[in-house]
Amino acid sequence: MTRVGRNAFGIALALSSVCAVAAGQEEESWIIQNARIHTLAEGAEPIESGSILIRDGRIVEIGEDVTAPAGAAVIDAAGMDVYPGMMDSVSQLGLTEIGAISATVDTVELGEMNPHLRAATAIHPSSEHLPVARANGITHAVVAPGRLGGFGGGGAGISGQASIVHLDGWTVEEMDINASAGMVLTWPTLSTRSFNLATFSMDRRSFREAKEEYDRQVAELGEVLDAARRYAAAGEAGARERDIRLAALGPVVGGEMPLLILAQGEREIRGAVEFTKEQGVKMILLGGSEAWKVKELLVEHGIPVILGPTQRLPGEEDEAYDQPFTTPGELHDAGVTVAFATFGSSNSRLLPYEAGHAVGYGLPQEAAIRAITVVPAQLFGLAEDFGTLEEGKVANLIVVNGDPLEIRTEVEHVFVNGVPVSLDNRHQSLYERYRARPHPER
Amino acid sequence: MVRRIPPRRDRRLLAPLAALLVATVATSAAAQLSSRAVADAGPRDWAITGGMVHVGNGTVLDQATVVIRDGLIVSVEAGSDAPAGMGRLDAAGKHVYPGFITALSDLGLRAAAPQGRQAAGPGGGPSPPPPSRGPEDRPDTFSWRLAADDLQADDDRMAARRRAGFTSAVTAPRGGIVGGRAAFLNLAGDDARDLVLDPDVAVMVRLGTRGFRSFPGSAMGVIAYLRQLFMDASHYAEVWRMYEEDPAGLARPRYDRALAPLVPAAAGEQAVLLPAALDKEVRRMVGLAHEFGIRPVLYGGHEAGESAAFLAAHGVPILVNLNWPKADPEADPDAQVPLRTLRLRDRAPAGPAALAAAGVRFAFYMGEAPRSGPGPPGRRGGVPGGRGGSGDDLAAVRQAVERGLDREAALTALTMAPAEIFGVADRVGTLQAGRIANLVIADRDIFEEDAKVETVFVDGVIHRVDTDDEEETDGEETPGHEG
Repeated sequence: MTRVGRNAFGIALALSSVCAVAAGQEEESWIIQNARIHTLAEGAEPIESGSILIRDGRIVEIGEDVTAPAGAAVIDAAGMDVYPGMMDSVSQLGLTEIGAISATVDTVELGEMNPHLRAATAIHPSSEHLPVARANGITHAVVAPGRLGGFGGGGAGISGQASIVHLDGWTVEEMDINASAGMVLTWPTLSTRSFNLATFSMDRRSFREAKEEYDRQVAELGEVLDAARRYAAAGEAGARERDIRLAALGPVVGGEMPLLILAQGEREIRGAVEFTKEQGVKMILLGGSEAWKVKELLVEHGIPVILGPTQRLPGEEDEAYDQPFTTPGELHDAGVTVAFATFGSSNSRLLPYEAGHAVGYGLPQEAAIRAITVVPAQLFGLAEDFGTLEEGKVANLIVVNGDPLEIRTEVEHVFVNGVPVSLDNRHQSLYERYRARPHPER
Repeated sequence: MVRRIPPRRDRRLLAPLAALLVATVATSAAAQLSSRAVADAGPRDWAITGGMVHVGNGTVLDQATVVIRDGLIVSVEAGSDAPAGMGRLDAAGKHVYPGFITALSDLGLRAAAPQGRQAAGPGGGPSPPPPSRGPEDRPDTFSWRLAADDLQADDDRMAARRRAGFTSAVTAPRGGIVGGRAAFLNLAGDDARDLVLDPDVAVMVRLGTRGFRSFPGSAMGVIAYLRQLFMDASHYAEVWRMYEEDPAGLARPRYDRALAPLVPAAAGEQAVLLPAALDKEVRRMVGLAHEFGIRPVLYGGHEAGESAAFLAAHGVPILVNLNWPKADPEADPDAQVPLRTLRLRDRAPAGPAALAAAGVRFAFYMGEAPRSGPGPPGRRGGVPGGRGGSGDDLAAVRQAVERGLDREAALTALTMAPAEIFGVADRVGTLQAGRIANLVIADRDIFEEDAKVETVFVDGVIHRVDTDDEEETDGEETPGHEG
C-alpha cells in the first residue's frame, strides 16, 4: 500500500514536470487573475486587483485590465498576492545533497586557487533540495562553490565561479541564468586558534605567526590578480599560450565580474575592502557577521552585503543577544545595500524568514522583501530580466495567500522561467507518507 | 630529628607501606646525621643580631637576635646577646622572616618524562597507556606514588626559589587524576633524602581528562570517577578492618595499591588537594569533599573574592595561584576579550585580601597560567608548573598587598599558614626556639617594591644571595667571627 502510494506519487511528480516543460516548449500561455500584485517596480504601488499574462517565459502584460487570450490557462488568484520569485543570493543548491555523505557533496576542489571552477558544472538538477526551496517561493538562486564557513574553518582562497540558475529544469543548461556570475573568494582569517582534525583539539599560535600567514595569503591573492592582468594584456598582444586560471580571472580584473568575498570579522572585512580598492575590482561582501561595525566603510566604498544566515547566536560572548537579528536593519539605516542568503542547500527554503526576522528587528518590510528579490537581481546585473514584475521580464513569480515573509503564509503557485512548477517535494511526500502510517489499535 | 610516623594511620592495614616508610625514614635519618657531621667541619652555628625579627605569628621583635645551632633555632630574643664561638651575622636595619613556603610545586622532581615512558613498546618508542573503559580500570590513578621518592637535590629551580626567599615547598607528583602523595620539603640539601620534612602530606588530585578515546573524557566523568574512587577507598578500609579484627572464616580481601594509600584521605585524616580556580569550582569541590568526608585543600583560587565567605563558612583552606590571570602577549590584539575574563584579571589579585578579611586560611603557590574560557577544568586549576622565576612570587604577592592584603596576613600566607595546612607547623613556619632554622633576611620590608633577599638559611645552612647578579654563594663558607 505505502509502496504503491509512493510509486504513484513519484510518477505523478515526474509527469507534472514533463507537462510543465512540454507546455513551455509549446508556447502555451497563462493568465493570473484577480490578484493583488506587488510588482516591486521602482515607485509603483501594488495593483490591488490585476492580472499577469505569461507567455514564452516572460511577463507579456501586467495590469488591472488584461484580456485573457484564447487558450490561456487561467489561474484565479482572488484574495491572493503575487510577488516576484525570491532569489537566494548565495546557496549551495545542487552542489550538496547530504553533508555527511561525501559522495553527494561537490562544493570544493583541492587547493587555494580555483578561479577556473564553475559551480554550474556540478549542479545536480534532480537534487531533492530544489523542489523544497521552490515550494517555499525560491525561484532562482546563486550557487557558490567553496566551504562558505563550514566546519573546520580554513578554506581561504578562490573557490570558483558562482552560477545563477532557475530552480527548475532537467539539465543545468535549462536552468542556466548566468554560469559565471561572480568569483567566490573566502577571505583569509587572521586567527590564533585553529582546529586540528588530527588531534581533535584547538591549536594555538602566536599573533605574530598568524599575522605573517595572513599577510602572505593576502599578498598571494594580489599576485594572482596581477598575473591575470598580465595574462590579459599578453592575450591582447597575441600570446597563444592558454591558462584557464588566469583566463577565468580576466573578467574580475576587467571589472566586469564581482569578487564575492566571504568575510565575517571586522578586521577581515576591512582587509578585503582595502584589497579590492587597491586592485580596482568590484566587491560584494558575503557573510558579514561584523558588518555592523564597519557600516561607514561599506557606505563610503559602496559595497553591498549579502548577509546570512542571520538566525544564529551572537559571535562574541558579550555581544547583544539579538545582534545577528538587528544587523540587517542597522546596515539598511546606514545606507548599506543588503541582500539575504542562506549559504546552504537544505535551508534555502528558509530565505523568506531570514528577511522576515529582520523586519521584527528593525528592517522596513519593503526593504526586506526587496532584499530577496530586486536587490540580488541588481547586484548580479540581472535587473533587466529579474527582480520585479514588469512587462518583458522573465516570469519567475509566486502566488501566495499572505505576506511571504510570514511563516504561516502558504505558497500556492510558483512560476519558474515562465511555467508553473510542481510544488510537490520531499518534505511534502514524507509528510503524506507518515500521516498515512498504520495506527495500531490501542 | 626522628621522623614521626603519623599515628593516624591504621598500621595493620598499611603494613607494607608502613614498612617501606620506616625503611625510608631510617635511611633518611642516617643520611641526615652523616651530612650534618660533614657540615660540622665548617661553622654551622649562627647568631643573627640586631634585625627586625618577624616571628611569623604576629609578633615582631625589633633589634632582636636569632641563634641557630645544629640546624635548629635555639632562641629568638630581643637584644644582641650572642653566645660566643659561632658565626655572627649583623642584621641591623634588616628584616628577618621565617623562610617562605611555596604551598604547591613540582620542585625537586625530574623533568617531566614523556608520557608512557615506562610502558615503552617493543621498538623502544613510547606507547600511550591503554584506553580505559570506566572507573574499574582506575584511569590515571597513581595513589601509591610519593613525590618524596622522586626528588633530586640538584634541581636548579630550587636555588632560584631560595634566592627569592623560599626555603620550603610542597611538591606534588606530576600527572594523573590522582597523581600520588605530596611531600613537604626544604629547598636545600646534598642528598634528595635530606630535603624531606614529611613525605606524605596530602593526596594530589587533578581534574584532567584523557581525550575522547579513554574514560574519563569529560569533567562529569572525572568527578564521577573520583566519587567512585573514594567510595571504594572507604569500602576497602571497612573490609580490611573487619578482616583484621577477626580473619577466621572470612575471605581475604584483595590488596589494592590504588586504594590502600587513599584510606587516610577517605577517612578525612589526610588532606586532599583539589583544583578550584573559579568560584563555581570551589563550590563543586567543597561539595564533593563533604559528600565523602574528605578534608579538602583547594588550589587555584582566582575568584577567591567571590568564594571567601563560602570557604570561611566551611572552614576550607585554599592555596592561591600567584600566576595572576593576564593578557597573553602573543594574543590577537584585536580579539574581543570577554567581560568575564577582564573581570577575572582585575579581581584575582584582590582575592587574598578578601580571604584574609573573611578569616580563611590560605597560602600561596606559583602555578601554571590559568586558561580562560571553555576547556577541561583541570587546566584551569593552575596546577604547579614549577616555573622558577625567582622574583615572580613575591612580585605577585606585592600585587595582592597593593590590592588590600594586610602585610602581616601576606607573611602568614607565605609562612605559618602553609605549615599549618600541611601539618608541619611544629617544625617550620615561625621563628621560635626548637623550630627548623629556615630564615630569610631582606634589606627592608619584604613587601616593599625594591626589597632584596640577601641571605637565606635552610636547615641552618647559610645561602648568601649576591644581589647584584642574583648569584648565590652556597653553604660552608667561613663567616667572619665578630665576637
